[in-house]
Amino acid sequence: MAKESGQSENWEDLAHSAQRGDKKAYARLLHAITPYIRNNLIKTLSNSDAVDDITQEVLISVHKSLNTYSPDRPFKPWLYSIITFRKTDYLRKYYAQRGDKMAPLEHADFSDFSVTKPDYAGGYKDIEAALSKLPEQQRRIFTMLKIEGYTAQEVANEMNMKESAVKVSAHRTMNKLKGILK
Amino acid sequence: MTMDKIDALIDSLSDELEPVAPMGHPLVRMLPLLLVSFCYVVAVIAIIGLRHDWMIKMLDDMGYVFELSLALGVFVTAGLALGWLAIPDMRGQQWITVIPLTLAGVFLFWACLRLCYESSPYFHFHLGHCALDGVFMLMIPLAILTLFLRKGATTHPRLAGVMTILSFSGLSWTGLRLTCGADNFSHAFLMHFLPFVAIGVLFGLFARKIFRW
Repeated sequence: MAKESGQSENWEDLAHSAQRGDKKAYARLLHAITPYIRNNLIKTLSNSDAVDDITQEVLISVHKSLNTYSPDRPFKPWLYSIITFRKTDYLRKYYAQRGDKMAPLEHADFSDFSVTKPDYAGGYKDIEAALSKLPEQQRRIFTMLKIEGYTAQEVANEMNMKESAVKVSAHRTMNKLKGILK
Repeated sequence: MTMDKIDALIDSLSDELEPVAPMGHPLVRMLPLLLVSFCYVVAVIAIIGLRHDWMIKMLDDMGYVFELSLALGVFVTAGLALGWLAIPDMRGQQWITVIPLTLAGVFLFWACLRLCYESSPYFHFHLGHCALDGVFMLMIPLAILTLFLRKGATTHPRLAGVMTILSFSGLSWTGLRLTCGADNFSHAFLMHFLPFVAIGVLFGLFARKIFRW
């Protein structure tokens, strides 16, 4: 059941031993499930602090609800439902508290503000759609300068333009995007 | 938090570990609680007094019997579902909540049908009697079911809230129909049903806080 490649110990047995008060088995169980919890969270969360916070909450929840685990049932579905519950709870609280926090478009490193992976949650879709409405050259300059991280000089060399023209183009693109995204 | 802190947390949790008895089968855990709730409502009915024509209604009015059976069915199935909802993975029996929800849907449909086809303008507005009786009937079952769930570890607090409401509402509805002599459904809807809806809405709003663990 819970035995998979790389999982040397049976989690069901460890959990059952923990219910009987075996502290060593319990510590082994918690150490064994920590990477599993983290891997489940990392799939959908971009913020490593959030992953660590939720991992901690899941471990505490496992501790609190150990009596609800039935030794004749597989351990993973029981654990997975706790992971999902704690993740949802964490995200609900997180997003409820950050309603007034806005990332300025000029310094839009959204990964710092978003816990859920933007590509997973569709967070970049609006910006991508707005960018697709711009002329090819403007879009390319903006993408290289603001998203891919090239300097104005490097973009100017690539596009055979003056550095000042690149900066003006990026500035105008930014204003256009602001207008579209309003 | 770094891995060191997680390791420290694991060490502290391991140190705190006490032997725990695995939770028994949900059915075995819930049945006595439902029985206590049922006995309590029977006692309240005995104190208030049965409606004078309850025997005639039971023997002659199939609609009345059907309605009572449906309400009792909602009480039992929703109450039993709480046994599984108190466990994080519901032991793989997520389908169990479908039964009380279906029964409640049939009940609502039945109530709507009766409301549509009953054209009696007569309305029994004895608020004190029905509202107070209803409160008496739901108090203990609500407390029992809520305490039971708080001892568990539900990962579906809203659904657990809904099941709690359905369960005590089904029982209290049955009790009120056995004590209140008014068969007019508009009265039943306003005096027997809406108070539970109001309590249910409040309960639902605070379900996450009530069932936090």
